[in-house]
Amino acid sequence: MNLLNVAIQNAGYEKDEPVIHDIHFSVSKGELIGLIGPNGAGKSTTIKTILGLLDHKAGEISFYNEASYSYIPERPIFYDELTLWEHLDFIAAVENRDDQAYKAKAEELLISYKLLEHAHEFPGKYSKGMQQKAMLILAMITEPDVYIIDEPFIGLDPNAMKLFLTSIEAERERGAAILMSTHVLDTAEKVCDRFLIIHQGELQAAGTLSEIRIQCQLPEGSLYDCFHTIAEGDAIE
Amino acid sequence: MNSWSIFLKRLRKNSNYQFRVFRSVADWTVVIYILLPAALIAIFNYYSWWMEAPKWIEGIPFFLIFSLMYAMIWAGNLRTYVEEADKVFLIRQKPLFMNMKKWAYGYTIVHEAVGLLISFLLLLPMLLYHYQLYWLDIILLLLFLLSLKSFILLIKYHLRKIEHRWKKLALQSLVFLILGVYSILIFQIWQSNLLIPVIALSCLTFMLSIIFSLKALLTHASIEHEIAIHHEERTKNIDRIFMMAQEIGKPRISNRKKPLFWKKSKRIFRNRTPVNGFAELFIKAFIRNHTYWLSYTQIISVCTAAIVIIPPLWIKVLMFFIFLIWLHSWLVNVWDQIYYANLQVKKYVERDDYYIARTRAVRSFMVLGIILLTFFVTIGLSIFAMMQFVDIQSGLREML
Repeated sequence: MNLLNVAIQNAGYEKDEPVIHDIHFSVSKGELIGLIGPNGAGKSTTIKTILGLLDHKAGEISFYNEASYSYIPERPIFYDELTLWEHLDFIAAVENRDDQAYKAKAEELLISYKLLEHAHEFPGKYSKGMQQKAMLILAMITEPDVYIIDEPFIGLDPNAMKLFLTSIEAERERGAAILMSTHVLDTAEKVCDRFLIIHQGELQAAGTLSEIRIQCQLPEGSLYDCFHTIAEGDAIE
Repeated sequence: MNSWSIFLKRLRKNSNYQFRVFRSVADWTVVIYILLPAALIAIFNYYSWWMEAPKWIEGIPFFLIFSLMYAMIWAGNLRTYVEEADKVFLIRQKPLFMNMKKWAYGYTIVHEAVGLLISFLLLLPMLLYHYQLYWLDIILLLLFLLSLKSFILLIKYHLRKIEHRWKKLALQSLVFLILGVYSILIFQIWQSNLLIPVIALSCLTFMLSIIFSLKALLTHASIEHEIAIHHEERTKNIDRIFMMAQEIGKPRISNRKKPLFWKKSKRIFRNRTPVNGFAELFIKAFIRNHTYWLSYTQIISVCTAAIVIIPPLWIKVLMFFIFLIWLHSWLVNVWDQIYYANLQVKKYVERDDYYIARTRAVRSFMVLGIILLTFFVTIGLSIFAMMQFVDIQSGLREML
């Protein structure tokens, strides 16, 4: 079952100046898709288009049966005036969550990510790694159907990275669909089911690693080799 | 490239930056229709002070002017013009870096001296004709205030390093009081025409301030601290604009790690509904961010002053309606600013609950604003009426 369908004809920040073109894909239940590409390729623009943050867009983005989603941005964003617990409390209130169930889930996540003792502090004052963990907790608290994650590994220490991957795996098993933009290709190669390689605002290759290898004409190549071939402009016929 | 040219380049860059900030607020219409007439009126008024002292100065004792000057010299910071990139590049060239900081310190002192001189020039007609001070008295006072200013800059430089908010505030208040007592002492010596002790103490303070300031500045250890001061000084005019016009951008927040109010993330509303969730976020953000409530109190105080001072009743009524429209549009603006600043909650802002909560929160803050305005206007008008009563009584006494 496809939880997210993306059919972007074009999108951009200015009228008549599209940055991305013809990007079509879908994310199914329990699937983890890696959105990869060099800097300036259009990954963040694709994510912003999915989130409805761009005014100039042609195409359609649809979530299956009003599926809920959580977005984890590359740079953590918080309310400077709210503690982490108050962020969780706010989300639970506006999402109409059961109070006891949400509190139990929040505590469980805070303990797992070792942030329980910092829950009543302003997350804007946390270290970079702690902020990243706080963002993950805020995304997971609502148990969304779809995750849209932008560069999750930046600022995470190895333990937090392991914890993140374990949490993501658990969410997949629950049935969540995940779209993850990343530059950490070796990790992406291990955890993602499929890949979308974007270059110069267009989808250059898509599919499983085997399918990507065929498209890049690199039968034994790693994800990095395929990425490099596309990024360096070697034509894909 | 030498240290002087580096400093000069940074000074020029900073001046251009401040000019651009000024131009962003004062376009040609503001300059022609507001600033130019205001400047002409000010010049005319100042010229008239040389002919005859203004009436308002009559009831003001000179000690009050001196106290205001003392309070004023607490403004400003010791500038070094150290930038973030210096941590990587200029820091390796120690003589160049240190000399640049020396120039910056010298400039700070000259800048502050010019500022004081301008204040004295503005007050000069009153000092000479109303308070009948001699030139030597005025120069001595200027010297004393400049020496004290240089000392305060040094003290503030060190006080800023204190991380703990309350400790810093307590120490700053203590130093303010101690130096206030010291200033009163000097003031009394100055009034007694004991000029030598004033000159000696001022020169000693000035020399010690320069020695210890240079000692504090000529080290790498405070680079982060100096970058923070430079950044704060550079953007202080922008911060002032942000405070006045909320639509321009996100205001500055405090350095606290934990909240002062609703510690342990205590809830405001027991009943957890989406509407209460939206409202609670707004209330907490509003109360915990001083720029929001300062602007709120500013709107109330400006309108209170206008209603109390401007005499015709119809203007008072008009001012009240202007107050209602101003406060309402400002509150709606702040609400939207708080919510639109965060991309993650953008998915919630199209809901009915969001708009219901906004209406309720804005209405509550409006009611509070009206109550406060009514309270202060009542007090203001009562004081005004009492003053008029005293005036009439004294007039009658004079007639009799």
